[in-house]
Amino acid sequence: MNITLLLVLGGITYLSRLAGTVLLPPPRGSIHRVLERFPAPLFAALAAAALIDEAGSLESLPVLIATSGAVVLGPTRNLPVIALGGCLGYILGAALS
Amino acid sequence: MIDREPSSAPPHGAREPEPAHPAAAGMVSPRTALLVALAPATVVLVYGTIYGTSAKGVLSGTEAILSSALIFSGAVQFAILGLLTKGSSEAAVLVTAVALSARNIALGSVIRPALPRPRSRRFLLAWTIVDEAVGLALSVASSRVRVLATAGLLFYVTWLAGTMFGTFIGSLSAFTAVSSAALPVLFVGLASAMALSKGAVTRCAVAAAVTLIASIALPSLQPFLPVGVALGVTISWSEP
Repeated sequence: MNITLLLVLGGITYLSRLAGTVLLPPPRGSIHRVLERFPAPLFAALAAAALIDEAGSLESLPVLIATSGAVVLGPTRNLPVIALGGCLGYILGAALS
Repeated sequence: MIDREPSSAPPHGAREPEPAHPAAAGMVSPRTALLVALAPATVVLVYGTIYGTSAKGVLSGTEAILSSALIFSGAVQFAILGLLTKGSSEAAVLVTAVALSARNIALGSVIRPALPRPRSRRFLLAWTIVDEAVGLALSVASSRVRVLATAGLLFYVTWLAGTMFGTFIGSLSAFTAVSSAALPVLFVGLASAMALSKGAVTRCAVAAAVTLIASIALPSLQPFLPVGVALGVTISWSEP
């Protein structure tokens, strides 16, 4: 990643912060609904994609069990607890593999 | 920087919520504001460390630290990391950054009534618009600007410190091995934290299942799948 791309990305995030606090009226209607709903499925999709390597094969057993541990504790919606579930799953997976 | 569904906060102009933090029902002193922000700052430090470690092999140490200094958004940075890991193009990175950053508009509009009038101060405070800082500020009945500024600054420092720490210890082989599981675990955590309704949980499950199957069936399309599938599910899957 080059410095120009980093600066553009920084500019995008800061502009989005400025837009809500200074520049624009708040989004409404369908755009607001899509914006508020998009992040959760995106991260779920990214989690699933992280389990597959470039050749289309599943990642190693510790990674799969770590992710399963996080999913099991997902309903707590508590990030430290979910991370702990991932750690315990990884340890279990490493012991089994 | 762990994202919450913006709909959990009232829309712009709506009645303000009851204070969720009992100790902050009245005026909040600078010390209290700092104490309120300490626990989430610890989580930010941990995830900053994971980010710095996960970035090894994808970004150089300087790039990782610079990205945290310039972007200051865990959601955007981890998503970008995930895309770069999958070999996505710069265009895909930019589209994702725009899509994820657009949520800040909703967050900013929610906290805007509490911000001071001079636009110059709003330009500075805008930098602190991250999910946890806005959430903390909305949880107090008064002194919201103080809480927002204190928490935002603390989170920035801890996010940067965590990234530096992760970048430094990322060379340790054991930590690097564990960090291979960090991204999917973190993404599950972020999705869980934001899936506040049954409909949202369903969208997450569908998006994950479709992405998993499509990634195995069409590995060459992997760089485009997460954003494409998530957008498709979001637009087409209506709330029951």
